[in-house]
Amino acid sequence: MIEKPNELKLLFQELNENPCRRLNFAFILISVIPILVLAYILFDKIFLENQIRADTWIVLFFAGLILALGYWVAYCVIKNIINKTLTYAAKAKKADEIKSTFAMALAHDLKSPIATIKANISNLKAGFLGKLNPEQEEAVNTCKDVTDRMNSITTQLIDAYIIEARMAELNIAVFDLRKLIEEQQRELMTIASAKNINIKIELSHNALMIKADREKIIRAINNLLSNSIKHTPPNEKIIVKAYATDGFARVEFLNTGAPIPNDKLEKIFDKFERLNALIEGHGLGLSIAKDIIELHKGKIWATSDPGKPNCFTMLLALQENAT
Amino acid sequence: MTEHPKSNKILIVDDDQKFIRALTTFLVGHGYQVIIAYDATYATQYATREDLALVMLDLGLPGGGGLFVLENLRRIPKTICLPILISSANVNTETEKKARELGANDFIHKPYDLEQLLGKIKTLIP
Repeated sequence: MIEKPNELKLLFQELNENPCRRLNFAFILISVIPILVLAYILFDKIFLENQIRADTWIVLFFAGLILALGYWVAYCVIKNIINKTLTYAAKAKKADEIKSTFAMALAHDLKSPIATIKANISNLKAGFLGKLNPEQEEAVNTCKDVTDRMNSITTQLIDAYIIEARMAELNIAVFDLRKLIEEQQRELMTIASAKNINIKIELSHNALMIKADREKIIRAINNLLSNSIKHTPPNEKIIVKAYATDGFARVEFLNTGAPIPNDKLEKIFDKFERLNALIEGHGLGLSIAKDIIELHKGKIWATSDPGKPNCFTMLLALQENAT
Repeated sequence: MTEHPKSNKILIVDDDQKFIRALTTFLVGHGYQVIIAYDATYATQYATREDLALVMLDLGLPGGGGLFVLENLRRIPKTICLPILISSANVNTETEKKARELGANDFIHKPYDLEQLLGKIKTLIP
């Protein structure tokens, strides 16, 4: 029992600091005390000849008072929590806006000089600035490769920022996922052929109609397929399967790359996470693919079992009544 | 060199002088005539005064954005049907959508390959 006023003050100070404790306190006031009062009244009725004594009303009055105090404390706590949640959400939204504005500015400031370098390289290669000797041509080709790589990193970084900030607008359309897989297979065939890798696709006979942002899904598929090509040893094959299952379009990318340790199966989708530092990459492709799929309320995961190919699976909801 | 029987004059509207210099070299090398405007005011003036085949319009311009120029050109009778190719380093897809709604014929994202640009120009000025 707390009797001294300064101790009571200290108790309330403590309650103010911890909303959960205040909520517990409110719970005691609302539930435990009325139960005790009820027990007291029942005791009165049963054992004291079913009469309500005068001091029972006093007990009831104080019980009501404590109950009201309990409701008041609970109200304050809940209000405080809601206010804090709303403030936090507003701050998070503001932070996302700052992040996306930064990404936009960064995109412009990095892409503009790259555009100038690329334009000059094109002019040099076309011979508009004079004929190049073989050594100069080789140097220009190196510059072109490096610039393209720099552009690719910049694009991926900016995409990662934009998608993470959830400000990426979705241009939603209904389309057949199978066509995108076929397109990406054709697009990446050249890179795969350089390692003599065969990309085999096994698609469902029925259309896999999904409602999504076509360009972003293309990016996700491209990233997953590129990742498979990077990790598959030369002269082997990659299998892409796509079929409908329980209202979802399921796409599996199977590759015969080195097994992925269990503790890395989730981590490989983190930004800048690379399984093998010797393989070229920036550790952003899988992270972007994950963000895109999650932005569409889909799921993506990796599995790696001994003796079986590594499998990256993505699930996207099928559009009903679409053909 | 490619021969162009009709007007082959291209107006480049961009504020990045180094980029314009490289782009001009490339387009002249392919037989096009080039006029340059560094801001929105000159862009509208040149577009109405010259006999142009195409306008290449950057969106981030001083003196009013590229979208403002596009909107103006689509209001002026002489330039209402003039092919306009938007080029931009802006990654916001909403901007591209807006530009197309305002009457842009095509859109190309910076940094692009000049060969890719040439393909688009040839589609717009056959």
